[in-house]
Amino acid sequence: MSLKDSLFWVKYLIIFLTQILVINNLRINLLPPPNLHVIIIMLFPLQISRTFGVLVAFSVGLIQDIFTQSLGYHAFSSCTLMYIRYYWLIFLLGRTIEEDKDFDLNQSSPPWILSYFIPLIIIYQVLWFFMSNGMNFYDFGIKILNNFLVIILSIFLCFSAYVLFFMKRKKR
Amino acid sequence: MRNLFLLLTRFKVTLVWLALSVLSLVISVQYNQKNNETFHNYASLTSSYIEAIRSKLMKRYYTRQENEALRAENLRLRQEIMYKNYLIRKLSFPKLPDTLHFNSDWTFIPARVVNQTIHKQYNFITLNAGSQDGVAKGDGVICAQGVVGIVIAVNKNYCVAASVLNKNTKIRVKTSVEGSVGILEWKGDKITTAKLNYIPAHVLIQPDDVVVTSSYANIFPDGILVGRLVQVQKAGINFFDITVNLSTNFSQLSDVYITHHKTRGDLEMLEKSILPHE
Repeated sequence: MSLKDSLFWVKYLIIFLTQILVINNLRINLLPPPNLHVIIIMLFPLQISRTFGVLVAFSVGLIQDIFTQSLGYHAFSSCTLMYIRYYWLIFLLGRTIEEDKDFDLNQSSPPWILSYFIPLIIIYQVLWFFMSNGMNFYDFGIKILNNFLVIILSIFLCFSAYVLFFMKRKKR
Repeated sequence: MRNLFLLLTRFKVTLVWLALSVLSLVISVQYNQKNNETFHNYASLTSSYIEAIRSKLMKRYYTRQENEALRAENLRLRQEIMYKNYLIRKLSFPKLPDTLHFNSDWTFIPARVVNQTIHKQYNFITLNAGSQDGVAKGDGVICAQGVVGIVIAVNKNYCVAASVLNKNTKIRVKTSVEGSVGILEWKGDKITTAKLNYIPAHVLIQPDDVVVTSSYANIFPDGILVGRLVQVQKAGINFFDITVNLSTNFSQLSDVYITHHKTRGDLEMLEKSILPHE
């Protein structure tokens, strides 16, 4: 493993630890904590096998579940997000990842990455709300509106983390 | 085997995702009270839905069996009634009846309606019993509700009966109160009513009286329900103009019995032999 790869995994670890140790302990108006760890799933290297990616996403979700005492919620949402991320990328790029081997998510422009992040974060939150709502859609719209701030905060945190830690500026 | 392996390899991401999703759902159901309740609600709803479908199917199957049993029982009861009538008839004579060698004149042959029409002026009913079952031309057809028609054509496996709703069908019937015999005819209008002709004007009848079959021509046994009088008017000096509400629902006809009289042939021959003398 090269130094560059190691640094990459270290960044992931830092993000994850921040989520577990800091963000999970922030409670605004008794709302659930925002989900920064989703960025690990969304920016997971495209060159690594998808099956492994789904397993990593499940593990990340399950650890987050253990720390938030909501066993199964994040695990389900995370592995589903990792699964549909591939199709969302195909939709955005207009071609498969296999056709474009040079494509790097970390080199994407902020507007493009926002258009990539926002739907995925909303899907993640919807899945999570579905699970936390007792796996039914009763009063679902009201609950999502009540937790709208969590979605906004998650998008903000993920975007900030991308700009600060992951975005590669093009050399002039 | 190789194809299965290739298929699994092709969809391995989806399969892994499905397996992990199911695992996370199981975990959430196991450890969260709310999800547990929802899961059990879904499970009980699904199982009750499946149970409803299963019981519907089973009911259909058992209803058919039950129908067969009821038909057999009906047949036995009809034969028993015939036997009782025979005993009553014989007991009215001083000679003691032969109870050991009872042999009713009437045979009931169960049959099922294969085809029928009710919308024409001349309606027919096809039944799945034929000459090999003992059906003969001129036999009567009845059902649990009442009279149905008269057999007009027979082959080995099937027979065709002219329904009561056939303008050519004429059935000898009698009123249950006075026993006056008349002829039932359908005029081709409403499928629920028919006309009762040749009831003399001096007979005491009134609406709601019951009309039953007469065994005069040995087509039907005595006393099979035909219907009830609904309208009684005087037509001329000699006869009534009577409308009968038919008891048989021809639109839902399914199981019937063919009434076969063992000596009707002899009777017909005898009656034909006197025709030249008329």
